[in-house]
Amino acid sequence: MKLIPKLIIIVLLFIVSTNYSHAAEQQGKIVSHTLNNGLKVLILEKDSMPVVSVQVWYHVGSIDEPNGLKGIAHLFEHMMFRGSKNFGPQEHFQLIKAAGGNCNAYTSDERTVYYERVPSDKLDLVLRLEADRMVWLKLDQNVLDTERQVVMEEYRMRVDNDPIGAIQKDVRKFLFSNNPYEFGPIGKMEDIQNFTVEDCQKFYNTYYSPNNATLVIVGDVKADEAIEMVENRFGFIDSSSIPARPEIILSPKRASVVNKSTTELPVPVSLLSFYTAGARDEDRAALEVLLYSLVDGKSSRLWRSLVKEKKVAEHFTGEYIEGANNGLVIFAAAHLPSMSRKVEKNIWDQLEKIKTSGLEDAEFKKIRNQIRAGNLFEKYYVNQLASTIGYSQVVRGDYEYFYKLDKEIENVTQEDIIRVANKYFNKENVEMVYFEPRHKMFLANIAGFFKSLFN
Amino acid sequence: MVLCADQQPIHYPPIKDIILPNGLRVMLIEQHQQETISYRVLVKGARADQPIGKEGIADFTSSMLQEGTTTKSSDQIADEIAGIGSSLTVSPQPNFAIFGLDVLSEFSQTGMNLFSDLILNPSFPKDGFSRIKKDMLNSVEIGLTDNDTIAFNHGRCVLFEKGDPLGRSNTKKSIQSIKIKDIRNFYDNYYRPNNSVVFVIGDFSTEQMLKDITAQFGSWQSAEIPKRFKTNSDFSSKGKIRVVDKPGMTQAVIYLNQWAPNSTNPKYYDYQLANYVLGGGDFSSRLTNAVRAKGGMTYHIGSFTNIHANYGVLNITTSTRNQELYNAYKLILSEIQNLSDKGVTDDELQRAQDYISGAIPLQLESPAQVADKILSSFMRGFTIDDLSKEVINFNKVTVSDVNSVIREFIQTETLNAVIVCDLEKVESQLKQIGAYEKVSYKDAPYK
Repeated sequence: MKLIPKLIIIVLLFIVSTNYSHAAEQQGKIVSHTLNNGLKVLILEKDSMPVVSVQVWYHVGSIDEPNGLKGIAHLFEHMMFRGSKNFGPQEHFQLIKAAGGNCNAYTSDERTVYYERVPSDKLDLVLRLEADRMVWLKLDQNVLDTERQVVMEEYRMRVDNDPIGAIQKDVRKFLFSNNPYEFGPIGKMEDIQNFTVEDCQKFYNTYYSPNNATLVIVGDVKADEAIEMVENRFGFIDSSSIPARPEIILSPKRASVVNKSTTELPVPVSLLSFYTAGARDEDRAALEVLLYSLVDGKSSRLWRSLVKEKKVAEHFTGEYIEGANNGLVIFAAAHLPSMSRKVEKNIWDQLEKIKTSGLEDAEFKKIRNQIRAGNLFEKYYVNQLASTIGYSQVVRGDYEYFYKLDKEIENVTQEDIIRVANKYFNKENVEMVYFEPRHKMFLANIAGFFKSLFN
Repeated sequence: MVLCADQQPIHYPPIKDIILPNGLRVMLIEQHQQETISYRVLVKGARADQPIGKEGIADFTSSMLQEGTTTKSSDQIADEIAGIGSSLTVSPQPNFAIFGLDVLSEFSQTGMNLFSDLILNPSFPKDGFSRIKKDMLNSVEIGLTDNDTIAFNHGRCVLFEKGDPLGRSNTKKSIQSIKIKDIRNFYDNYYRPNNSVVFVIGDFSTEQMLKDITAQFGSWQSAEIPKRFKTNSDFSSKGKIRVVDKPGMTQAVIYLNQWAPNSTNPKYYDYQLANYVLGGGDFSSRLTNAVRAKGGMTYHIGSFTNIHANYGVLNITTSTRNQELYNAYKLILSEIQNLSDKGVTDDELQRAQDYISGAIPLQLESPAQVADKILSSFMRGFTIDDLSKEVINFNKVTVSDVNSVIREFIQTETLNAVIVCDLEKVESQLKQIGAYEKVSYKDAPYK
């Protein structure tokens, strides 16, 4: 998503922000090919630089973890670099680096994605590495023990010793209690401590299969040659039976009630979270346009009203976070202790205006330009193109959306905006959280200081 | 852009490089790959120029440019920039700042008009001043919740000599002391054509772009630029240890630094390769392998360099659970000592060179990346010829060169250490590390 938050309160780990939209007609045609074992391959030729991006999107994330194994999907993001039948520990990384490339991975609630960007003559090397760890990953006690410690360090760094991470953890607790989204990819410390090699092997056997993955290749390659390489490297791998993911519908537990928690941050933070459509819903495009108008930069309605004009918030940000079938719009404001109600009222006032009158023509024009420009600049980067194709296929359900997103945005009407504003942004569909600073004296100092500035 | 094999130069696109009568350097690269234009203005007014007690004024000044011009309010500026689908970026560096505006070429004229107006005609309005001041004060407060920021701010203070603006970070006191007139003074002193570079790359006609730039920037008045504090890299000074107490931490942050050769040093390439082997190459580096992959003591460890024309710094950073603080610290030092004693292997150097040979060309995927690479390299004293031969120069380096530069510059004795931790929980381990200065995380890093 190209919304740029001022204060990253809610870059939740669990559903990676949308990063979509492409006027791809000028970009060439995506070649789609499915291997007999079910591996879906999507290739886009782009020859402006001798570089290629390879991304393997496994359709498994933290919502697929059973109770007691919260965090195991993320652990695999680490284990997958610790050696397979034909490559030693860290060799995957070292070989990519030696080619001048880079590689990494991320885990979300709904997927785990491994990616490499290398000179295009190294495509076959990358495919060989990815195929090897798809079928022959080494899982042993020593490696598990070491990576467990590394993951626990990551937990301490991201959650225990980071106020934003701690807020994210609490937000999940309030928004998703007792459903698979509750703990997110980082998982539970007590579960991480108790993973066994057998747990890992079972998880790997269940989810790391060609028919549970999408392979995206973008760059200076010939599609037919790339397909041949993919067939050679992945074609022998057996498919497996993948458990169906249960349908999860998210909704507020305590609509319009303010949940309270505390934070290490020096100022209070108020959050309003609306449960919206997922990426596969026809409302998605209208929601994107609406969110641009509300939260994108200093010309957006909410930033201008809360921070600049009414001065009720110190910082404000908003995010539209999409899963395949669920979405969340989160508004977050850091403000003076006495301002939480004013912040809330102001957000509602702005939403009510749009529910009644929609957007101005200039806003439509601005947003379309923003999206169009973003699309054009993204075309320079193979990684971004590959991510957008992967997103279209895995999250939205069809890579063909890659071509349609500009058009979808163009087609959003005033009626669509008013309809989705009324449908989602109401008091029956919001969960609110208020974070109070833990250090009261500190807070008093800050509050006094801010007041002196206002005067 | 034509890319290179290991021993072939990188062919950068031709640059129209001229200096206007007012001293403004203008660099233009015409490139029609996509219908986009990237504008950059580099101003050599930055943290290195901040008066003592006014830390933060460089960023404050650059932020104020969007708050209003003599003809436009901040709302108008925000609306017009968003209206053409763009946004203004500011990239602050210790010695300069780069302002950027990337636009679709159909909005070239609007973009140019806006960009020049922001740079040349800021009005420094009071309401924008108050809001940015609040933002910056909040950032200081929020910085106190970020353990890496705390470590880095204290580390700079320990490394740079007293009185060097580069050793001083923003404090509430310094931000509070900044007045609008200070911002005006800073702007008047440093935002001058003879202290700036305009760089444009993309889909335009060079002839027309040069006319437009001359029309917009030609009347910008030059002036004498105040002299900058001369940073003194004292390579022989013994390392110090500072412990920053922050109760409640379940991890300790370890941050180490020391002086490194600057970019004009003939051993620049040797040193970069040494850093790759030490900790700059992730899982191809010794620190990552020892502390993370084998030791399981951290999620991340790495070394990185800040190399400028007048000084260089080597940084090493990690965080580890409280009970492993001493072990991790000792392991880092022992890896450095081992590197210094025994040097790198042929294989390690080859891997580092292979990485750099492949990586440098891949960093130039977009016109904006080309612009930023050329500008920042020029500020470090490199020419286009140097950039063209960058990969060749890296590949000329021998094991003997790398080991020589390691022995000369990478020594445990001259490493400064900042440890941010819950002192009560790790005190017994700190005693094993050695004598240290103790401060609270709430204290300003410098007196």
